[in-house]
Amino acid sequence: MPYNPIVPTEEDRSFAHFLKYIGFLASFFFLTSYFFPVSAGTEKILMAMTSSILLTSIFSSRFDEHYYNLRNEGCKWAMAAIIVPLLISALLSVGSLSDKLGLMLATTNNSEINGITLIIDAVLMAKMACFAFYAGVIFKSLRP
Amino acid sequence: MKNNLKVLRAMRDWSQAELAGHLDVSRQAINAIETGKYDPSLPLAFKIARLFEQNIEEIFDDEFAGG
Repeated sequence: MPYNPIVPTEEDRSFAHFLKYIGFLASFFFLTSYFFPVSAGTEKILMAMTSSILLTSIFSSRFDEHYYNLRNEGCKWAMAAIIVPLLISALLSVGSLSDKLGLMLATTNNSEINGITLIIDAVLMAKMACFAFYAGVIFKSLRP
Repeated sequence: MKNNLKVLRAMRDWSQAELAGHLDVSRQAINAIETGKYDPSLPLAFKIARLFEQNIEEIFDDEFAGG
């Protein structure tokens, strides 16, 4: 059989499993940089590392079925990291809406009803999703 | 799912990386299968069975086969 340089080798496939630890560390520091600000240059390096490793992890087809299985778990965790804050915000907004409706009925002051403003920090959510992806991958790979 | 992949591999004196090379998967995948952390897909299970010239049932032990 002729040598085909495109066919991934065992080393290529194993590299994905090495990459998950690098991605986990990068996404961890990327997330913590939200709470403990670092220099702009470091932030950009962390952002570039996290996003490029994540893109490789998600879209590369040079890995094996075991990694794809771990990746599915990571995707579930990442989605949960996005959905849970949205759900909490939605529940809080219902409470806020009830308060404002109650206030309106009590005071008949319509100017108090100015819509529910839900401010979810998109950057934090993105950082949490990146970290959650790798947390899910690592958790599943280490779980007995 | 329990399996005797480790025994079969040892009989051929292969490392996990060598077996992984034969099956086109990563060394970590072999380790995960051997330790029962990951159940291989049906195509991979057939590939393993063909490599060791055994039936799938001889390599993989389905705990629920009796009931």
